[in-house]
Amino acid sequence: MIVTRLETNADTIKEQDLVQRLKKRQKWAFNHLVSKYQQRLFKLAYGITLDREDSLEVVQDVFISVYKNIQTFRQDSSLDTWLRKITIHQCLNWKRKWKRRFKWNHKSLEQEYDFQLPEENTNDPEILFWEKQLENNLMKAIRTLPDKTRLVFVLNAIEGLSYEEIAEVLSIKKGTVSSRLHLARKSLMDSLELNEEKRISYGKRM
Amino acid sequence: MINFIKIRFILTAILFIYLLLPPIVSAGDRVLTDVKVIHASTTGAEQFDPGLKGIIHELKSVFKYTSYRLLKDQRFDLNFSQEGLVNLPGNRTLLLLPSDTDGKRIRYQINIQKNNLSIFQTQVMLKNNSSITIGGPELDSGVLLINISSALQ
Amino acid sequence: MEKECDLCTSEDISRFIDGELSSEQCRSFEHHFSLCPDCSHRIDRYISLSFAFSCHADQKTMENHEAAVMGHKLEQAVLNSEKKSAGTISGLFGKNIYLKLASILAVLMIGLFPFDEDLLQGPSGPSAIVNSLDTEYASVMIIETQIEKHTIIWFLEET
Repeated sequence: MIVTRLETNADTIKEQDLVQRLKKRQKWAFNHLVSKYQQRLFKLAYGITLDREDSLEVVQDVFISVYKNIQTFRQDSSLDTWLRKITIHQCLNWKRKWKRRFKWNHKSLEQEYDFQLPEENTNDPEILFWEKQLENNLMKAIRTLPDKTRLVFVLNAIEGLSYEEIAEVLSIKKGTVSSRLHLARKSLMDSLELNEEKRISYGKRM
Repeated sequence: MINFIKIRFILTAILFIYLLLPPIVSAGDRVLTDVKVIHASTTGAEQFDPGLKGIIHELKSVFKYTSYRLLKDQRFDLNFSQEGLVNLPGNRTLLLLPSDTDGKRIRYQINIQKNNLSIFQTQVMLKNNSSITIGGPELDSGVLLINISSALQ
Repeated sequence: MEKECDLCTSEDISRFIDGELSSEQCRSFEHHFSLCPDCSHRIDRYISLSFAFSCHADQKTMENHEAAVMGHKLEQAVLNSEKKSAGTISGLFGKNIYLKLASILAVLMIGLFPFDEDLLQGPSGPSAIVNSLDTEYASVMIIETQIEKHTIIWFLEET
């Protein structure tokens, strides 16, 4: 227990030190911040935008924003939480900025459903079938979720945040987190199983 | 004698080739540049200024704006390496510099400044008798669109 | 669609997975889930959704060259920011006009009709070819309209 507490304190001190150095505009501190967080923030941004190119731009914007606004960071939340909030804001802002003005729907340059589950040693046909269903339809279904719902799902699935942590990041109530996360899971599951029913019915007709 | 004929022949051949070459830009070549400053917004009724007739279809195919007002239409007859300046709303300035041409496209340096600081600059090869549109600094619940067209003189 | 169980709702299951139920509720549900195939099935599905999505996102890591490009752009942005705050104006068109590149999202084809590659192959080309861009701001798009191939450059001015 004591060791854990000490480690936690060490992490907090390290973070405080990093923030202080960032505020002093020390270049190596900024480089350290970028190398520490870029992959994580990219993964989070991707979960929200579902677009690789957009996610790269968002992460870049996040670090530029941090550089410019670090003086306003009061450390009443952790650096992790602050960076998450900025990333989410940039993701939603990014979409809004373009959607408001342009008529088309941005088509991602990458293949949309380039989806592979990690290999599992299973020969169970039901499990294999389910994984295949996920592979084909999950990302399609996720795109149809409303932004607010998908956001909660992403923070839970990708960042592993608790309801309380999600509520803090999004400034919403815990009950709202619960209902949105449930809605996301139910919608995705219903959507995937509807596809399964269609497939079965098509198979019967053939 | 034979050498003299040879030299005359070579000189004539060089002159002939030179005349056949595509025209090279000389200091006297000019380009007529037209700048339309447009305010696009979604407030108000669907409308566009008659002066935008030539480009409104392209703009509407891209943007969701419903109203397109022509704020300014400024024409320049510029020499190459001569700069044109357009004052834009919101303490902004557009600077244009045609530098050369290959006969089909004209090279332009385009710079947009705000409060005398450069916020955007680009170098483009603009097709003769064609235009480019640059947007969109925000203005009064809408945006500025700047359409730049050119015609070689 | 899977029918919901009489004893617990799908939201209960969702909260159970996330450890958001009280220990008493957990104990009672655990016993129920061991007997109810519908609920047990739903638990597996909910967990696999998050797992599958997380694995998919895991594969979308930034490549080394992308990180390097971003690092360079950030350096430039930091330099520009410092220049700005120092109040220097480096000439009419900027010192490194061709070196700084704003991020260009994509060249997107706009049209009311589905994207048709054949239409792009016209002999005339776009109305303007962009040789270089230089801006403080990361958000720039270059668009070419489908029929007239009219070039539009869109940048988001920082507010």
